[in-house]
Amino acid sequence: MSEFQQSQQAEQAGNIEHPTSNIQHPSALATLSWIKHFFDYLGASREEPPPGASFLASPIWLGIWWGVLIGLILLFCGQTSKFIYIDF
Amino acid sequence: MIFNTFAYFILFLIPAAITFRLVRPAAQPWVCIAFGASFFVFFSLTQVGGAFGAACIVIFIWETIFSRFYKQGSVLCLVGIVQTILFLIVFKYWNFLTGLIFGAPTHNPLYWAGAFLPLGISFFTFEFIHYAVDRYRGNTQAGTFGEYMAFILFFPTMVAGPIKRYQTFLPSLREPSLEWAADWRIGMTRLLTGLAKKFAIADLMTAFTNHLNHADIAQAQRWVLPIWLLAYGVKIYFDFSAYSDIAIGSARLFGMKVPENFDWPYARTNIAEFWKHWHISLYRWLLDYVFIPLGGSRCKPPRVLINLLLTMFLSGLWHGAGLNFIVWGLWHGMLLAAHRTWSKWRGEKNTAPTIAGNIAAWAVTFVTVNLGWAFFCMDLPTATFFLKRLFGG
Repeated sequence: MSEFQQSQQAEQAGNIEHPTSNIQHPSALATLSWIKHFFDYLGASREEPPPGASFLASPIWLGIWWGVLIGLILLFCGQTSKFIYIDF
Repeated sequence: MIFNTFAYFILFLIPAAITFRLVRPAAQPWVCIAFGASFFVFFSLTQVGGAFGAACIVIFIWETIFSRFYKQGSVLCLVGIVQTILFLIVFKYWNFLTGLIFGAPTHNPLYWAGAFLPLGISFFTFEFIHYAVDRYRGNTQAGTFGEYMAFILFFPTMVAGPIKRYQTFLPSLREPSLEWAADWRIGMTRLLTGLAKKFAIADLMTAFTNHLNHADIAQAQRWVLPIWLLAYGVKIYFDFSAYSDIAIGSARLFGMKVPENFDWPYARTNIAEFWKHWHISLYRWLLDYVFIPLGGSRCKPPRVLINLLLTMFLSGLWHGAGLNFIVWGLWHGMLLAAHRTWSKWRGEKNTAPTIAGNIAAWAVTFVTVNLGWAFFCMDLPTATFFLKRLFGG
């Protein structure tokens, strides 16, 4: 099994390696991990909200968040260009 | 464009995802095939390749028929790999390779004036090769004609990935998630996030990255140059990760999960970690089908470094038919080789790095990756000129 597959299995098992996991200060690590988890949940690449932020899973919050995203899309969509990787 | 067009959502994604969930399981692969083929033809005709591009749908039909003959250890798997590589060479590298021999198009008797790139060829050929290799090794089951065709014509990932694996796609196709509400909530959030990243961040960077041409570089003040290059680093990350978000979100509307492609790559503190979290599906493909067959990291140290360089050379060449992409690949190959040599020389340390050490490692990684983008976004003479101006004034 390759190193990558092992790390993938570790991630799937919940033992997720964080980019700053070897920092000496646990509080800094916890804060960074929480921030990453928060943004991952907002972007729907994680399905569970971070600890202490269960309000993010409420329908009201989801409605607000979708509203923000749709607002950003409408605000900036006039200048869009081709995705870079389409040409590869 | 494709993912940022109304046509994608109205003509393809929403109808396909709803139909897929409503039909009986035996018909689901055929929904993927019908919509995938229509998607390929529609966007070939309207955006890439025209009528000849649309005609390339026969590649998918041929591949599906030919793949039915694959068996463990069969020479036909090897023939399948060779013909797939030939497709890629003809469409993507013909003028580049003949140009290396004959020079400029005016002197090149083999120059193909009407050359075009079939939609998504770089990505679907990787899936063809993966299937042929894994059938040869006996690592995957054959599936049915319809299931394999649904795999290669699954339109959310057809054009630019994430590069799927048949072993993980097949169970998902046979038993997709039945949780409509959760899948659509998560899928739509992912889609909207992707579109917002593309429109509000990636496209905003175009104002800076448009200046990455010889004339503007020659006139610009030196301090502006790193800002332009950094803007490209931001643009390509948000552009491609947005694309992946939309692809992953689209698949989720079907009740299917496809591989992740990005996991905070710019936060990583060394180049090896960067590559494990940047374009993850490509990294895994290169690891499994290039680096490990070359001997991987189980050879003698000099050979491992050569394997790294060769793998990243191919990665660069795959990204585009140009010397600049080859240099970009080799730059990353050298960074990976340097990191490996450094790690071996330094050995395992029992003490964790300090915060300052981590910040320094992150900064070195971030700067070297972003310097490499110069070769990715400009042709070789322009990139060289850019770097000369950046470092030489």
